[in-house]
Amino acid sequence: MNVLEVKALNKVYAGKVHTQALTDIHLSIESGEFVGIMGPSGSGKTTLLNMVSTIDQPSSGEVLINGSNPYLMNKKELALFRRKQLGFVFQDFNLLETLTVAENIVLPLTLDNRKLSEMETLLESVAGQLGITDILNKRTYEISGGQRQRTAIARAIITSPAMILADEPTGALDSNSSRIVMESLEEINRQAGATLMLVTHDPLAASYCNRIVFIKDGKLAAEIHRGDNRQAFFQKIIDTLSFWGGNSHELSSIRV
Amino acid sequence: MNFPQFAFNNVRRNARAYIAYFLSSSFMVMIFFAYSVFIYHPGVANSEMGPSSATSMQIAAFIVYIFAFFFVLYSISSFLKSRNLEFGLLTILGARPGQINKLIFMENMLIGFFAIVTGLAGGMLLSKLFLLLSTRVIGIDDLPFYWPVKAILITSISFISLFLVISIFTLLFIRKNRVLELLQGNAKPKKQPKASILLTLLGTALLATGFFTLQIEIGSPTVLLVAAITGIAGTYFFYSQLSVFIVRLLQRSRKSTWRGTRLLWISEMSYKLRDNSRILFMITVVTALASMGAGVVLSLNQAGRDVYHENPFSVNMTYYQTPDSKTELNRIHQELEQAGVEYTEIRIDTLYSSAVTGDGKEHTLRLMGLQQFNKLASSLGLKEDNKLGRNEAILIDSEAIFIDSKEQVAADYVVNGMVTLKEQSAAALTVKESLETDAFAFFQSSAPILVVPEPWMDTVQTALAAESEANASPMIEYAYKVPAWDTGALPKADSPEAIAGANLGKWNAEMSKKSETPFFLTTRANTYMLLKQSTAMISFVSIFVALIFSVSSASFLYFKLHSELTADIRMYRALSKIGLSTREMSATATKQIAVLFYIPVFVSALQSYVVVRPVMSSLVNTGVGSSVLVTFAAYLVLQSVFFLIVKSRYIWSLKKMMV
Repeated sequence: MNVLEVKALNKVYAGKVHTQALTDIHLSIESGEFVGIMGPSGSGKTTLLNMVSTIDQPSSGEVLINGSNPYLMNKKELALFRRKQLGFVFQDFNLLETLTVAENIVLPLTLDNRKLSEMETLLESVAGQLGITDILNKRTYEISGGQRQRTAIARAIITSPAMILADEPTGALDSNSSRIVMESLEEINRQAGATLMLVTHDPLAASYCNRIVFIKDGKLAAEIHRGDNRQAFFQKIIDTLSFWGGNSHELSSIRV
Repeated sequence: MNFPQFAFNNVRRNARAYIAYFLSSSFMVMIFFAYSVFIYHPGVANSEMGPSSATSMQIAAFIVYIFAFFFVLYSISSFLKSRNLEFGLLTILGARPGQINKLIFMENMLIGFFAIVTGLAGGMLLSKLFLLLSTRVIGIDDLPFYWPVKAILITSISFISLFLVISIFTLLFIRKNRVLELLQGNAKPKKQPKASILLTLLGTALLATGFFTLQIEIGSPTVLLVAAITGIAGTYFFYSQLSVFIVRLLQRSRKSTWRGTRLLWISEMSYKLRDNSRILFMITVVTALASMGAGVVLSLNQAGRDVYHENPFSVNMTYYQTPDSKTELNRIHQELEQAGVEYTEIRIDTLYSSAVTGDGKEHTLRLMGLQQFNKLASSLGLKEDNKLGRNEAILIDSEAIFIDSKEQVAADYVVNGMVTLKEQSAAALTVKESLETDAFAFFQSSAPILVVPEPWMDTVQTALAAESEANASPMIEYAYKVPAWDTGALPKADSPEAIAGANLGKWNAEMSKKSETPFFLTTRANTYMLLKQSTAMISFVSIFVALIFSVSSASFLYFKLHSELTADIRMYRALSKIGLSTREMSATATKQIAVLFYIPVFVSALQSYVVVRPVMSSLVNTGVGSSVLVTFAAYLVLQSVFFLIVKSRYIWSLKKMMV
């Protein structure tokens, strides 16, 4: 069954400079898939992510998440929909400094007025899954970047959403933290069967995906699938990038 | 571009950042100037009510000045904090600390200068309105607008020195040696507010001390001073320590905080309270002071009305000694006839005497003959046809201006139901009846009255005469009952009773100025009008001070919120992405702003009630509690208006950014 169905999606930014950000995008993600979206800067990755995140309106076309069209909902329903059906992981974590790690994680649940015992059980299980049980009572400025991103992941998965959307989750992390975070994401995909959509620049991070969709100038450019070997997949990503991206500076950000 | 030009351009091109600071300073100048225009108005100095009004206005202006100092100081410190990044950049580019100091100093003086200029300009307009209002309230003739040279000079000099001091002061705020810290600016994580257990306990102890000293004993200045100091210090610790402590206690319980938006706003709250603790403290103290003043004024007004209603006589003339001639009475007759009203004249003779007790203490009493009393009783609304045995008496005590002291006094000289007079200590009088009434409040002294049979009056008078000739003559009171004026309504400034009262009052003042007069004349209308005018003045001043505080504290809180808006927008935008609805955002933000706006009002309401209740109930027997409540209701309404404005503007800017 498809969790995400994007059909003939177009996005035009009107104004003095008319910009066609996305042209005729078709994309579907099955339940339990881990899909990466790659492409050079300005290719429309983030625009696509915003459409899927329901925070931006498409000009034409359709987005279906779990069979329902979020663009037919009003603002309040939309907020509830995001809270229940989608989990978000951002480059800059977006954790609240005023709250402890535990409080940050349970925040979406408290907004739903869940029972305390239920929240505590869920908190314990996601914290265990991501290995952050020891730091639950710390403040967000007392922990490392990797720990912060894992806290954000815990917050994203605690509501058991239909799909998790990750926007450059390793963008602000060092290589070691990046590895831990990506392994965490891979883990929740494999163990809990969570559906993930990852937008990234980083080929190494992308190599954890099952499938990668390349976008260039707002159009779908290529799609590659991972075999058994991650190393080989990484090489394939590099090859595709240099073929489609064309510019050598795209490679400069690679951290091996 | 030289350095002063750089400073000037910095202000000019960064106008948006400076505007809050500039406006608040200019506002303060404006208010201060409006007061000065009134104080130094030539028409005020010459008028009757003028000098006393000017004094209270001067006090108000002084308070405004003190507040302006702290207000500008806080504005600038929060303003400079938001510019840390800029100072960091300048330091990296190689500016010496001295140069940055110079820059800040020049900027401040520049803003200060323009604030004074615009404040004076705005104050000119405001003072026209102010003169109109104040003359209306105080009841003096309209004051013409004038060119207030003295007020301009005083305002400019005061504020130039204020900005000079503050500019020097603010240089201490910036730690220029830590470039990295400056560069990180506001991005630096906010440390969790911590409450020290010791200081929390100290704060609690201070508040408790203040509370209990007021309960145990009241009235003495030392007690009031102790209560004021402990109360004010305790309030400070309440905001800086206790509030943080309470929030942390709350957060400890997951059951109470992990629900709905509480998790969000309770934790944000502890930061907002801690960050604003000083300004909240100031608002609380000043609000409490202003409303205590207003509460006292309101209850004094009530007391003034009561005194008017209780006095059955329109005019009272008291002769301390038996007069040689009664020419003065003609003046009264003349005035009453001029007003064209019927009147009856009643003469009351009383003698000063003393009651003695076993321990040799003396208590002053006024003796009144029984016949006299019976004649008066009907117009005072007391029982007529009283009869007394040979050695019996009726004791009349006032209804306690001083509740606490009264009981002591009555018990002091009445021994076993008997009173012994000094002048006739051989026999004692049995107190047949004891009345408590304010019917005799029109008498010039508050000594208790003892109604005795006529033979006693003669005996005491003879005894007094033996002692000294001067003491022997009875005190004579002429009271005038004017039925036409006993309508039960309070007199207005232009009602005949008030006009006659004012004329007689003026005449009495002239006479006593000329020579030592053996008489004293009062009219209830004049007494009431004078009290009304003076309380109107005090309430006008305190209401104005309260208004200024309300406006400026609201604007201060708004600017404080505004400076944190960027960070809050970021936070709420991120939260809205993960599914915080606009309604939940609005609930969270509203609660936070509401706490900031309403906590000082409620704390100060509680404080002034606690303070005013025991103090005032010992002075005046009227409902002070309700007066304080009325004041606060008014303040609450005002604060609510500001709250709604600030809230809607704040939420409006957040709403725009919600996805």
